[in-house]
Amino acid sequence: MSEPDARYFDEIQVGEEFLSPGRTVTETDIVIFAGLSGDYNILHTDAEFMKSSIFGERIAHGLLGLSISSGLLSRGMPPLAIIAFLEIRWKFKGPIKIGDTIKVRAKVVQKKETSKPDRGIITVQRQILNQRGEVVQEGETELMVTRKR
Amino acid sequence: MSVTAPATYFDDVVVGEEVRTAARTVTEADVVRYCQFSGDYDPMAIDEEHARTTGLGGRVAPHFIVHTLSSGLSWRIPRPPLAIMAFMGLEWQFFKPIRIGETVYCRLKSTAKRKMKEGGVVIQEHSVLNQHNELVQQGKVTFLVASRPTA
Repeated sequence: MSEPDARYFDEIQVGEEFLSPGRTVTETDIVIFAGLSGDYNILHTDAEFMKSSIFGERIAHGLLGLSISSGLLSRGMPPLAIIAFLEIRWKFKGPIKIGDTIKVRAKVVQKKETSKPDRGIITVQRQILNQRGEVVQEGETELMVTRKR
Repeated sequence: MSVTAPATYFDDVVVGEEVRTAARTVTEADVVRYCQFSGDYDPMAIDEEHARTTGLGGRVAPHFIVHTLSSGLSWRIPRPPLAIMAFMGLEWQFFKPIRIGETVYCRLKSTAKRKMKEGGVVIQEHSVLNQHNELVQQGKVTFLVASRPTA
């Protein structure tokens, strides 16, 4: 949401692209996220069970990747004057494993005016990439952003 | 006789059945820990002075922590846990902010299931409500769910 130096709807261009720094997802991150969310599913917490799964080992929660991507993006994209986060459409395409390093690529793909002159809707495409450049999660977020009058 | 942990397999999923989760109060500790974990220090969540100048009157929980707490609550239902093999996708809308001290719970409903070669796809609608039973967030989640193991 809005910060003093945040960018307005009018200043944002369709086609702008941003790349975040990387962050290595550790076992500690997964343990903390399980505690925080209350999601102790065996996919994330039972190393023995996961040896026999399609992934071969514990994987990070999908929403852990999404949560970290918001933090990474705040370090890779100047803040927007957000009034409200409206919607997300998201696909989990591959696992994030302990020791993987992820970064976020973001692109402004659409700007829509609304019936109110003081705000507009911006669609930002987000991709989470691992250290091999594989897209492990991707989707679009819709944000309501303040407009200058 | 071998004993296995109880689970709700693809075969057990009943389309149309709705369950209510336990509730959880969103505390200041949750908000601060979530910001520290994600590294997203949204001023609306951590800058009380700034947040007071907005129409919301003070700090609010980041949208995704409410979503994250709902993912944990979705295990706390009067059913054995869903045998999820993978989380495939999400379409989610945010309707109302949550202030520190508010309490959320979810209603979960399986809306479709489709058999696959291994297990099957289950689509659920998850609705997050506050202590006044107002809709806070809602969306569609898609899981790959294991079939009941053959004996």
